[in-house]
Amino acid sequence: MPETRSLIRSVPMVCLCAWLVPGGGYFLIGERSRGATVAVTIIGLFLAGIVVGGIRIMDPPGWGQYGYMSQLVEKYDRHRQRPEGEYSRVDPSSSEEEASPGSDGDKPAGPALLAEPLSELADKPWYVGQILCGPMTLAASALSVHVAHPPAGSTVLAAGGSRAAVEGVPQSHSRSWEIGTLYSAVAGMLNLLVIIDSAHRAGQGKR
Amino acid sequence: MISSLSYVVFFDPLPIWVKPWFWPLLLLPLCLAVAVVYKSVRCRQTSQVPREATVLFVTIVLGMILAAAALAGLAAIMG
Repeated sequence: MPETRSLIRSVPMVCLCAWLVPGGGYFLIGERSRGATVAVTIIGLFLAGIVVGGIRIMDPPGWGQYGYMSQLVEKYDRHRQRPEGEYSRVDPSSSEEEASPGSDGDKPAGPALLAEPLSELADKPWYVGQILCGPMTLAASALSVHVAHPPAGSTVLAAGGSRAAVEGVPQSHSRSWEIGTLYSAVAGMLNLLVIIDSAHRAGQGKR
Repeated sequence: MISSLSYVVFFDPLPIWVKPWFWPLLLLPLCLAVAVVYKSVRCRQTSQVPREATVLFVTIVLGMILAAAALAGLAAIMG
């Protein structure tokens, strides 16, 4: 006896719901207990990853250490009095620096995410797994970026005697970061498995 | 100052470095999640999931222990 009556059998709709909420695809095709089991497991694993590694394990491509969008600048050669023609990546530590990145004469070339999206993604490939968990990854990433902003006036003495900004909530390191990121990325990969299976079951139900 | 050093769940990383024996235990929730989701996908009846997932969980953990023991033995032989 089927556990519940099937509601919707549209494969794209089931895929979308399965991505929006882990297990949502099963709910849509009427398999509620299966949906509840995977939802609790995947969301639990994702949250466990954040507990182990801290919220800063959510490290979206295009955003830097201090929670501002990484910018590309074209360096200016002061000796020759002209742009070098080479671009470098700047990690702003304030909204002012984000608006006008680089030193005097450098020409801003816009956010690195827009200019070189594949390069940014290649720098943080684990985010591909994490994003498969759905909008909760986006919400956690937004929170991570928000809490990373340096508090006003907080700097430390860096190498060479210069001052460096301090992250609002620092990123974890070593095993904490690795295990936390692994948990959240595996949660996303398991959700991919669930998305495929719920879509397959929805497709079978049509025949 | 004290409040800035205190542990805040979800924001600060879990202090797993305090007890060095603790971090290998973090393998268990991961194996459990993989076993439960995999068996939820594979089983025809959801009533079969708890038993099947438990068997798979124990199999994965034993496999990991055997692999760790084999690698530790290899490392000891290699000096």
